[in-house]
Order: sequence, then structure tokens, then C-alpha cells
Amino acid sequence: MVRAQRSKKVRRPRRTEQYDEDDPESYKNMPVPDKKSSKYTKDKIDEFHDEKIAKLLARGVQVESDVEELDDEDEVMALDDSESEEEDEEEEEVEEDEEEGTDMESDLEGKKEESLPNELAWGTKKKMFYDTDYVTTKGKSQEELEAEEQEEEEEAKKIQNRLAENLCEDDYDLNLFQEFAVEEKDKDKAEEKEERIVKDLKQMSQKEKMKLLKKESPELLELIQDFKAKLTELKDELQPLVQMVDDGKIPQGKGADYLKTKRQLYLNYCTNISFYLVLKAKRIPAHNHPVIERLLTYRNLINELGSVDARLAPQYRQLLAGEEGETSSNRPAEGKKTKVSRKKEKTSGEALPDVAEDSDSDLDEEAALRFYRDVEQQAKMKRKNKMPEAEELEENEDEDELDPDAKRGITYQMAKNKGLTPKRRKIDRNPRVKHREKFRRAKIRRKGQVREVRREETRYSGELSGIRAGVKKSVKLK
Amino acid sequence: MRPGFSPRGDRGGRGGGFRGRGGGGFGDRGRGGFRGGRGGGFKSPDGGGFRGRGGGRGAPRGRGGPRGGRGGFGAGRKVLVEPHRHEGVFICRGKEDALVTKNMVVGESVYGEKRMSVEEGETKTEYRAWNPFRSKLAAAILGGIDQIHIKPGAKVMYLGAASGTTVSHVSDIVGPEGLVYAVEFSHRSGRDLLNVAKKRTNIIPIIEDARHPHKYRMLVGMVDVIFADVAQPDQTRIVALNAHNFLKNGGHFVISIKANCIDSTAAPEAVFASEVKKMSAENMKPQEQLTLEPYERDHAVVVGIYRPPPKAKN
Repeated sequence: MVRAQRSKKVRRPRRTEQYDEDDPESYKNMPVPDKKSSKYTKDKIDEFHDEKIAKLLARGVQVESDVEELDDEDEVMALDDSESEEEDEEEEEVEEDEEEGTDMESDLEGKKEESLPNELAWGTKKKMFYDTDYVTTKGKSQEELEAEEQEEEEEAKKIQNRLAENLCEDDYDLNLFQEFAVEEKDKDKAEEKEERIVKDLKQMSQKEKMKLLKKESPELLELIQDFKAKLTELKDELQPLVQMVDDGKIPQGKGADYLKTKRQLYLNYCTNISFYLVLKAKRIPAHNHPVIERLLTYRNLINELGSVDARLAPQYRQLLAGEEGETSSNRPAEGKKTKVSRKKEKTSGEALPDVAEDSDSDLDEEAALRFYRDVEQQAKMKRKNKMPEAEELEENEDEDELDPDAKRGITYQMAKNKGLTPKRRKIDRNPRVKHREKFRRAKIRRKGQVREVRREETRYSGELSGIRAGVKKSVKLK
Repeated sequence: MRPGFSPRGDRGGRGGGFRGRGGGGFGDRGRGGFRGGRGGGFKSPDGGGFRGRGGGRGAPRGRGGPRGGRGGFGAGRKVLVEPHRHEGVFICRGKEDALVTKNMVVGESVYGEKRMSVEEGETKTEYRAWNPFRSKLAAAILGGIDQIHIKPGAKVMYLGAASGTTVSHVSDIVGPEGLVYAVEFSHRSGRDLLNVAKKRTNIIPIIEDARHPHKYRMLVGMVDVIFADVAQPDQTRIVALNAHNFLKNGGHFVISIKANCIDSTAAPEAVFASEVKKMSAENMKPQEQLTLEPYERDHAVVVGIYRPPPKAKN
């Protein structure tokens, strides 16, 4: 059903075989168009429209949506009877020139194969196949269903294979873009532009250049600075320290491992930055390049090391200053370092050999004291972060006490002390409603005291509410 | 004036009879207005479904009337009859409960009321429904009066018997051993009363002015209870006259008071109180009082004892 509709409605590509327009198979035999020509980006339909619009404009007709609709109609008609006199001759000529008479052929073929369309005539839109009123008959046996599914699967495989064949080496790399880049330079216009920019750059002052650079890639300058800093740190601090480890001046342990890890991290970071710089220098857009992501991860890792670094910095300096001496004092410090760093390293996911117990035994009292103080400081910080409001409250109170004229605010206790307010019923809220309710209740009560007089509306047939023989309601007189 | 649809007019003759001596102090309302007012109180606008008190007079329209409408009780319906607290009165339990009395004259309706027969073994008893809208005694019973003193075997003097609707029920209650002296002055409604009395041997109809008991003193012996429904301004005096003549010492009286007929300007409660006071002055000791809502407006029933025996000193 759907296929039949399609064969009528959808305009068929003008090929001897039926292909969908976007199917690569359909233009397999066509010559690869020149990239510079407009044919590369525009297909025949686009060209046809362009030409038509150009002609109309030449004749002074304004392009409107109505005209476009008319065009559509014309096209349909053109397929059916190209010999009709209604058509503009010019247009017809154009069409015939372009299509080289394939129009009729395709149409005929379409009619022939309406019952069994070409296997490659799959549409691109899912909707065409799924949104039908075609319902699978319920009476189908299990085998039939399975057979259908198998067929479907084979078909899908075929299509995939076909698509895969069409892919070549070129499809996987960036050559396409590079081609464009190179060829654009060939173009005169593009060249002019390029030159102009170069000129501008040359003419621009240092400030302007910087501005442009910042606008284009704000991370570049920062990265360069980082690169320099990290390199100097590597050269001045890490390399000598690692050298010391290698020489055996610093004993193997967590500290040494830490140093090596840090060096590795820095080196990797710097390598990535340099790659990024290369990309920049070659003017290849690096915005979506994976290197950016990589840089970010390294940076985060380094930042994680930052706190440990800050703590260990004095010791490093000590080590660097008096390289040879004080290996004895180094040791306890080393032990302490390991203990603190262990936590950090674990968070960064780098497993370390557990030598903590050995170094723990070497702990000095002085180091222990320092460690204790650090922990204390941390706890204090935490508490501060947790209860900033309480502190503010206290501060406010202090201020209020300082200012005797201002009104004192109520305390939290006052605000929350609900025990002093009496419980009020809802009915007490509105006196009018209260009276209404009272009246309603009184009316009900009065019904039992004084019965309303009723008239014999219909023929008396008894007491609906029943008779209670035992009830005495009379008033006794004295 | 169409007879049968204006009880006020019907009662006019009798009302005039009462008033004949007293003069027209109440002007337009005076003549027949007092009894008529009662009938008018429950007169239905079209007179179809429900007839005024005098509706059955003259023609058998009351009993031959259409038996349509919804029937809470009646033939073909499963009912259960049980005795009331007051002797001789029964309650018919069904979809709707009704007050009934045992029919003395089986197969006869007096004013078109419904009858239901109950078979207990061999004996077949028939009961008649008692409409509280047409009988103040029934209204008083349903309202929960303590004592009516009218019981099987009792001798009752009924002042203001009218067409004899309530009288027929009283005659049912007192039974063949009892007696009902039904006094009615209006000849027109007296005719109906006579018709009722023809079928019921325990009713003695007296077409006389109740203000002159000496006129029928040769007919009446001593009675146990006086029931009065005369609706006259001097009704207490009328009851007292009859009590002096016929009521035995320690006998009882049941008086229905319509406040509007005594004094239409005063509050009903005040009227009732003043009447009660008058009774006390006439050696009649009122014992209980009951208003007749929801069946009548501004009506009260007062029950008392005449010349009560002195209290036994302990």
C-alpha cells in the first residue's frame, strides 16, 4: 500500500534503476563533480529551482510562496505529460536538457515494477514503513512469522554490507577537510581573504593581537603559562629529587613513589600541551579535539596533588638546599609524608605498595605533634563550613547588643515556642459562619421539641416514621 | 355554596345554634365560624383526595369514593396488628404504621377510611384506620398522650360529635359493653351522626345544644368520661355544665382546645393556660396537656379528673 503510494507521489530519481535519492548507490555511476563548481553542493533539483527563480527575477516577477506552490504543480504535471502546451517552453527546454530524457523512462519503469519494487528502493524515512494501516494477520503460524523475521534480517544485513562497501579509506580521516582547506586557498577570493587577515595581523599592534588571541582561544595563554611553570618545576625541583631517589639518597618508599608519579604526571601534561600548541600553530581547530579533554583530566589530577605538594614543599626545599646532609632527619619526615599522602594518592586511584607500617614505627614525636595540629586545623575548617549561619546569628546578637536603640529581634526559641498560643477551633474563625452553624444545629434540635405542622397533602396512609406506643410527650400539670 | 366542600358552611347551622343565645360578638366569624374553622384547617384545595369533615353528609360520597392513591395498608397487603398502650386502640404495622380500631360493624367504612381484616384461626377481625388529621383524639394518641381514659366498657359523653367520624372510633374502643352519648346540635351533620348511630348500637345520638344539658338529661346516665371538641369560646363552661350533670365523681374529661376559637388575638400558650385555669375553678382538675402538632396548628388537648377523690392520708 505504502509502496504503491510512493511510486505515485514521491518523485523518482531519474536513473534506469530505482534508487532513493540519498542512496549512495544511486550516484555511484555519476562522475565525481568538481568541488569548485556549484554542482558539488547542489543537485539537479536545486539547480532547476535556482535557474527558474533567476529567470523569473529577470522577468521582474517577485518570488512568493504562491509561485513556489505553482512550481510544484508544474513539476507533477511535467512528469505526466511533458507534451502539454500549458508548460512554459523555456522551462521545458531546461528540464529536458538537464534530465536527458530519463524522465519518461523512469516513469515507465516505475509503472512496470509497481508490483515488485527494486530491492534497493528503500526509503530513508522510517515513517514510510512503520506508520501504515497494514496489520499483520493474526492467523499467521509461528513458522511464517519466523520466516518473515529471517527475511527482514537478511535484508538488513545486505543493506549494511552495501553501505560498508561504499566506505573507503578516505571516509575515516580528516583529508576531506584538509582538501577543502587547501583548495580554498587556491580560490582567488579565499586567497584574498587570507592575505587580508595576514596583513591585518602584521599591522595589528601587540595589544590587538592579544585581544584577538584571547577571543579566539582563551585557554591558550593560560596553557602556555602553565606549560612554562610546569617545565621549570620539573627541571628545577622534580628532576633533581628523582635523581636523588635514583641515586639512593632518598630511600625507596611512598615519598619516592610520589615523586615519580608526579614527574610522570607533569611530563604527560606538558606533552599534551605541546601537542595542543602544535595544533594551534597549524591552525587546526582544536575545540572538539580529544586533547582538550585529556588536558582537563591531567589538570584535575595535578590539582588533586596540590594540597600534598603544599605540605611537602618545605621539605623539598630542605632536601634541595642541603642535598647531601640530613638524611637522618629526612627519614622521619619521609615517613610522615607518606602517611598524609597515602590518603590523597588513594583518592586519585593510584595504588601504592603498603609500607606505611614500617615508616610508622619511625615516627618522631615532633612530627606527630605537627600531624595532630594539621588534623585539628582541618576539623576546625569543616565545622566553620558547616555552621556559618550560627556564627552569623552570634555576630548579629553581638551587633544588637552594641546598638541599644534598635529593636531586638526575637530569638529562635521565641519563634518556635507555640505552646503559648491557645488552640482555636476552625469554627471560631468567622463569627458569621459560627452563628450560621449554631442556627442550623438549633433547627435540628427544635424539630424534636416542636413538630412542624403538616397538612394532609395526600390520602393518609399511615405514619411513615412508625408509631411508638410507649412514648408519652404530654405535659403534666401540677 | 356547594355543599360538601365547605365544612364551614355546613357547620353554620349548628354554630348558630350555639351562638343563638350569646349574640354575634364575633361578627362574621361568629356564625358557624368556630366549627367551620376546624374543618377548613385541613380542607384540600380541590376536595378530591381528601374531604372536609362534612364531606360525607347527605350522600354516600365518603364511602364510595375512589380508592386510588398510594396505600400503606389495605387489602392484599401483609400487615401486623398489635395493641396500643391505650386499651382498644391498635397499631397496624406495615410499610407505614397506622393507628386502627377494631371495627364494630364489619365491612362498613364510616367516612371512607381504609379497613384491614386479620384472620387468627377461625375468627376474622376487621380494623379501621384512624386518621389523625381528621380526629383530634387520634392526633392526641399519636402525639403521645399519657391517658385517654376511654377504654372498652367505658361510658363516654362526646360533645361536638359532628358527623360522627371520631365517634365511630370511640364506639369501636368502648365496644359493645360501653356507651357513647354523642351530642351534636347541627341538624345537617347530625344526620350523618344518626346514620352512624344506626349501625352502632352503643352510640346514642343527641341532637341538642350542649349548653342545655337539662334538655337531654332524661337520656343520659352517669358517664365515666366526657370528651369535648366543641370549639366554642365558652367551651370550658359547656364541659363543666355537662360534667356537673352527668360525670361521676373521679370521672375524667378530655377537652380539645383550639386557641383561635377562644381568643384569636392572644398567644396560643396563653389561651391554653387561661382555659386550664377556668377548669380548675369548675372543680375539674387538669392533669396533663398536649399540643397536637404536627396534625393541627395551635391545638391542645387537656386531660383532667372531675372532683378527684381526696388524697389518702398516710
